Amino acid sequence: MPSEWQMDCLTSRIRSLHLEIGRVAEKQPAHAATHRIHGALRSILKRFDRLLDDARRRAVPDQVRSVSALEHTYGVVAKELTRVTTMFRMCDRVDSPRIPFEILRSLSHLASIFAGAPVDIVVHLSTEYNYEITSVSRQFERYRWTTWWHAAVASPDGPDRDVLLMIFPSYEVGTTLLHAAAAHELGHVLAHRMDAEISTAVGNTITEVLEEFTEERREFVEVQGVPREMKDSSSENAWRVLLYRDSLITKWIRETFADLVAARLVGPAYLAVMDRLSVGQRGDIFHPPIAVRRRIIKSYLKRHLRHVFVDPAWRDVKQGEAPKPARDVATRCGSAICERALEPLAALLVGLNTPLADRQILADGVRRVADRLDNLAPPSLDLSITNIGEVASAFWLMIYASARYRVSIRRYAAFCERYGWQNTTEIADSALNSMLLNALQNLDVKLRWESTR
Amino acid sequence: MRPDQPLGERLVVEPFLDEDDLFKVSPASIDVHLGNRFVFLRRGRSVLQDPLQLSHYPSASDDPEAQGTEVFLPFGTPVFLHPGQLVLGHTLEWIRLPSTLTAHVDGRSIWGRRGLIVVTASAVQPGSAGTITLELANAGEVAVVISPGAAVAQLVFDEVTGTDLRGRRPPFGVGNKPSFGRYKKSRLERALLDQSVPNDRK
Repeated sequence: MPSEWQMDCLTSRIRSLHLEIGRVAEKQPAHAATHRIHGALRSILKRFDRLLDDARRRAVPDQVRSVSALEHTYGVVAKELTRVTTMFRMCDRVDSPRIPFEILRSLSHLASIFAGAPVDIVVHLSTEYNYEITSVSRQFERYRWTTWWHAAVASPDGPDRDVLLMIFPSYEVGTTLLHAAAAHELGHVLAHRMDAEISTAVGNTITEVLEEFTEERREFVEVQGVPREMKDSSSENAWRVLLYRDSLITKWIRETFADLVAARLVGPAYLAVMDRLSVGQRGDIFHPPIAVRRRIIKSYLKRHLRHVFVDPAWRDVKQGEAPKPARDVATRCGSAICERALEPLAALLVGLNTPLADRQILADGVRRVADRLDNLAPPSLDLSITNIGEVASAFWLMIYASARYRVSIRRYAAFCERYGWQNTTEIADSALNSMLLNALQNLDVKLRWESTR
Repeated sequence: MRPDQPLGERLVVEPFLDEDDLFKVSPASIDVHLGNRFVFLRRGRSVLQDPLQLSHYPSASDDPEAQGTEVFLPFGTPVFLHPGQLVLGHTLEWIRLPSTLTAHVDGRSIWGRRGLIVVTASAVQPGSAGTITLELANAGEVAVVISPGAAVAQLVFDEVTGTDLRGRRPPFGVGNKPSFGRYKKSRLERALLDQSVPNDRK
């Protein structure tokens, strides 16, 4: 049984975290989406504080049942405290002025299309050079906190709004072009919504590939042993054994699906960002090897967006190579599943609108964006936005066309020369990012303007 | 500003949505709105402002983060500007002036009569691009509440001739948020100020 002192420690941790969350919530009065999360977390802490208090009062020393009930409550509350801390860490410091708030409302519109319901986006900066996305409502569901989430988001005006917590890399967050990676993260939102369709589409492929590798898998598992839980995966290569479990295959498939969404929306601009984000990475339990992902994206572009793939502006981006993947059977097997899942997954994306699909519209859009950038004007100039679909289309087009402008060596050199930035391309890059940021914000401004007509 | 003109010769104001009313009310000016980023200057952060770097004391650098606190506030958030307070804001609009136009930033009288002084250094040069940093000060007796999205200032235009911008950098940074700008001494300033500094200050 925990001592009185230990229980006091737990109680005071709960109460101080409750106060801290309240302090942070007061400090960020302008960011409503995080208020909902903070409110829910504080309610949860209050509930567990009361639970622990009740168990302590009811506990009678020497009565086995009441002592074991207290032990159980102590364990549960301690675990919940850790979870609250994790959630709080994810939505702390989301008011940093370095965050590109300008694009968040436009991004929320895109996420709402993918989620099929209204969502808000909150960004947290991380020193890990990575993008991530977490649905707060789903995280609460996993923790069985749904009641508190519904209480926090309940709105008489309409449906509950989910909050998507996105992690952006902290030390290049000002590079707007890098946010092409958001297309991949939003792909996960779509993957969640299309979970059943994805499973059905790739079910046969997974079975076929696993059968082909049956013998090799058996040999491999005999040597490595099968870890019973994820936490046993610390030993080298052990995670590859886990690949045989459905859950892991599912993770790689979802990643591949999100990659294809990004490829469909921003084309090789995503490949360019992937190169930047994946420096030194080879793949892990959640992601297929980078070389395999590159290969799949290139195949998709070649087969489904050929006019984009053959555009000479992207030659350098396409030619890049990633480190060779490991040769063990698990990696080969997982990679084969992902590569063969390309077509079934691509078939699911046919209905996903992309500005890249129509060659003529794309060419006009690219020309217009380049003309604006040439003249130091935001690419949104003279664009009229009347609905969310147009926001999405213009958002991805501007990301694509601006990235293309940046990688077009001659054109970019001429841009730098025109404004005297030949020797200070970092200033030219900063100007390019500022124009794009302004344009992406304007999409939402224009939509609001239209809604007042 | 006509869309049929080549873009390089056009005045760019983006977003500019109220084209129907363009120059209707004020034939030579357009209203501009407050953007979302502000720098609240803090006395505790720096002893003094000394862009000429003449004093012995540590002074604020040109970096807004070192000078004060930068914040992003959503449209509609009230910002309380107290008497005597100076805050940096910026225009929501991205402005790019062609070689044939110069502009001046003026506060709108409706705000000025309530104590808000919008700008103290108002010239916008031909070839400038980006959002314009606004110096917002309250010269009144009581606090003034402003907000991102509010039309607090106007741009008044003048035609100029003979400006050749080819190969020239835009006069100020091409940015999207309030900026202090780096103080560059003119040749005359260097001649007058640097050579007059007593030895013990060098």
